[in-house]
Amino acid sequence: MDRNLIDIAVSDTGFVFDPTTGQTFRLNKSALFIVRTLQTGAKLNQVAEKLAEQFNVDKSSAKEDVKEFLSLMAKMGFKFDAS
Amino acid sequence: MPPNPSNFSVAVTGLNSTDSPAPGIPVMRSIKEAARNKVNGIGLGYDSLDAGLYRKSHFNHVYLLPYPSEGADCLMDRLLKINSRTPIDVLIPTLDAEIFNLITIQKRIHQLGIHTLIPTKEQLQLCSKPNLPELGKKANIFIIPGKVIGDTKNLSKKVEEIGFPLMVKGVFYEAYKTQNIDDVNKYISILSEKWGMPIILQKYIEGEEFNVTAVGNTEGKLKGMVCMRKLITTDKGKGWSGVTIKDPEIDQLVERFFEATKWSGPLELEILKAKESKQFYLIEVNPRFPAWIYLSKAAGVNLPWLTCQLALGLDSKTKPMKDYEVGVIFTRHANEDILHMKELETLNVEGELHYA
Repeated sequence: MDRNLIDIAVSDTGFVFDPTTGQTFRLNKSALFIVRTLQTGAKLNQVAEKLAEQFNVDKSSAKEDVKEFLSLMAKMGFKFDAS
Repeated sequence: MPPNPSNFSVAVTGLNSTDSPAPGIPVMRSIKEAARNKVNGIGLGYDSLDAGLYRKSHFNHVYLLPYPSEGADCLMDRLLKINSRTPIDVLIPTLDAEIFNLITIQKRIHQLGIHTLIPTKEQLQLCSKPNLPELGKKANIFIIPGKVIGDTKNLSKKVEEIGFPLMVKGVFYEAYKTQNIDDVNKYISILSEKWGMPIILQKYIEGEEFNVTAVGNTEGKLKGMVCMRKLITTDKGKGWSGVTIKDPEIDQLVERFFEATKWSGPLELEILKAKESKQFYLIEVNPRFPAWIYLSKAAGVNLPWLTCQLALGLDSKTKPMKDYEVGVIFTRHANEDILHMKELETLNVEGELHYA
């Protein structure tokens, strides 16, 4: 069963425990920033803008990074409706 | 009437503690902690070097039993003698091979005041490895496709129909992943010599394994359960570390299992979630608690204690135990207990030891 990425329980250190699979993993700073921003209700473009601003990268690279992260999380069973 | 808590005796079997440990020690640990040590713990082992026989903190009295292969009457005689020395109120078997003999003598030992909570012969047979496809149909649970073979006639054809990689499983224990017909032949020979026929050939499906321990009451209603995922396994596939998890699809599978089987007593369900299809398959049903059962107590659902209460007819006083803490982890370790030669001698000569 896929879970919604924005429901993920993540600590301030980026440590994640998935209660339905028992898997644990750690998000790096930028991944944690993406998840936290998504959890505020931001859309993909807004997340990319904030990521670019926070980590001082151009917006198109930031958008690609967000997409890559979402794709990786989807493979792990965490979906996000990017529409 | 339930026994007085200060004079309440629980006997458990399965006290070996090798790299594939039996569940007896953690079952008694759970019970002792629930009863704040007031329970009189009786340990029943098979080999005088079973580590649990020397766990004085858990067991007040320990006895040796005849091996299950000696039959139900032999077990009955031994329990009669043990019960005359140390009366038993509840007996919790924890090894697969013991269940059939205990079902055979269940009524007789109940007349002695020894209460048990175990499945019926029919439930046990329905959940045996060769009968899992039938159980799957009855309970609407996916079972991994395979074949049960009683000999090696037309083996190549049967193997071809399943395809590689393929699991070769013993009727009671052990399973091996194989990639070619030579390996299939090799493991059929090893497993049949060890555990007899039939052998189960099963398609290998890649995925994650989950384990559920649960208890059904005398009417076969699910009373309590805990699910965990192994974090570390030994080379025998035994969990050396694990974490409690909760997945609604697994909960539903377990409910369907109990509705179909009306299983009475403790059990362990081994479940596989296929990597590709995300489908849940029931791999195996073990008719007893698993060795990781203390995790249930640690997660707030003390299933061994619940089993004692249900066995004693206190069902109406128990609450369902399905809400447990998720994310509780166990790690196992090996330890050396020291015993004196005199203790080993007494156990070997007299078949019993008394600590308190």
